Amino acid sequence: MTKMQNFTKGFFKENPIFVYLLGMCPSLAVTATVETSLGMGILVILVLTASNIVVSLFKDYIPDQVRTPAYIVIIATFVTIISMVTEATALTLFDSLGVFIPLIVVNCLILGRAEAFASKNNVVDSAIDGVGMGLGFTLGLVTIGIVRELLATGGIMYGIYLPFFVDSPITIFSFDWIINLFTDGFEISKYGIKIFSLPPGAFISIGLLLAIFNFRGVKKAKKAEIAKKIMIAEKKAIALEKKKLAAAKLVKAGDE
Amino acid sequence: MLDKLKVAFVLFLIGSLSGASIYLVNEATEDEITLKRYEQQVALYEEIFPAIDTFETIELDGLITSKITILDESNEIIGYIYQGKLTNNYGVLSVLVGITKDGVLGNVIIASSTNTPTFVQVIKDGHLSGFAGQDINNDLEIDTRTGATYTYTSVVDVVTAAAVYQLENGGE
Repeated sequence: MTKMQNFTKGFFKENPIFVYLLGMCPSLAVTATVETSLGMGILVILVLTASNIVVSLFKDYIPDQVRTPAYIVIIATFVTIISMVTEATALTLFDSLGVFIPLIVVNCLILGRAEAFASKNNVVDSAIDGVGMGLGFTLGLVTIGIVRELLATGGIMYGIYLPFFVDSPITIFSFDWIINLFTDGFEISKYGIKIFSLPPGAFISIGLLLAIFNFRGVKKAKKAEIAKKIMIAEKKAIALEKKKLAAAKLVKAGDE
Repeated sequence: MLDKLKVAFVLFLIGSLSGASIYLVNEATEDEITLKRYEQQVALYEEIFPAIDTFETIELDGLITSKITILDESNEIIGYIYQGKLTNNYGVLSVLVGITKDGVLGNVIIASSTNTPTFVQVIKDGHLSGFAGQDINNDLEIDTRTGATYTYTSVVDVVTAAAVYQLENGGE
C-alpha cells in the first residue's frame, strides 16, 4: 500500500462511519450542527494520530498480554490532554460536546486502529493512517451534520462553538438566500423539521446516508454473490460428473 | 518471574509517563481555564446587568445555590443575581435571575441545561423576556402555554425562589 493509498483509504473505501460503522455514539450525539461535528472530528484526528504514533513507537516494548490496557492508557492520556486544551481554547465547544469528549477514549475506531495498524507498522505509516482515518471520520460527521442542520434550521452557521477565524457567528449558507430571490421576508427557520436536531433525526439521517453510501457497494456485492453461487454450482456439477465417470469405470472393470 | 517483572515495569512506565504528561498539561492550562470560566460567568452577568463593574458571591444551600451582589463603578449596589440549579424529568437546569435592589425583576437567563435543546430554545426565544420588569412584591405573571412545560416550570420555580429570598432577606 502506498502512502497516498494509506492516507486516502479512510475517506471512502474504509470510511469509519459509513463502511465500518465505528464511532456511532458521537456520530449520533454531536452532529446536530456542522460546527460541533467539525469540532469533534478535529479532536478525534488529534487523538487518533497521537495515539497511533505512540503505540507504533513502543510496539516492540509493550508485552502482548497487556497490550490492550496499555493502549487504553495511552489513548486516555491523549484524550485528557486534548480535553484540557479544548477547555482552555474553545470553551463553548467544550461545553457543547460535554461528556462526548471523554467518551473518545472508548471510541472503537481509535483502539481498533491502534490494534489493527499502529501495532504492526512503522511510525510514519501509523501517523498517516491516523490522520487519514481521522479525516474520514470527520468527513462522515460533517456530512451528517450538514444534513441535520440544513433540515432542522434551513441553514448552516459558524462561529458559535469554534471561535477561530471569526469574531461573531456567521451564516455560511441559508435556503432563505435562494427563496428570498423570489419573495420577501421568508424565514426558513420557522419551517425547519425540528426532529432532525433530536436523536430520532440523527438515526434517520445516518440511516439515509448509509443507504446512499452503500448503494453501489451492495449492488456489487449481490452480483458477486450470485456469480460465486453459479461458480460453486458449476464446480459441483463437474465434480459429480467426474464421480459418475469414475464409478462407471469401476463397474466396467468389475464386469470384465 | 522475570517476565512478570518486565510486564509490571512496562505498565508502571506507561502509567508514569501518562501521569506526568497530564500533570504538565494541567499546569499549563489551569490558569487559562480559570480565566475563561470567569469571563464566561461575567459575560452572563453582563447580559443581566450591563453596568456591572465588580461582583461578590455568597454560596447558599437549597434551590438558590448562590447570590451574586452586582456593583457598579462607584461601588454602589445595582442589584442581585440569584443562581438556581434544579433537576427536572429531563435533566439539570441552571438559571440566573436578576433582581434590582428596588425589587424589580431583570433578565432571566438559562445558564446551562441538559434538557432537550429544542425545548430549551423555545423557552429562550419566547418566554424569558416576560419576567423582566415585574415587581417581586406582586404575584408573578407567567405564560400558561409555552410548548416546553417542564423547562419553563423549572425556570418559574427558580424565579419564584429568588423573589422569595430577596423579599425575606431584604437584599442582604
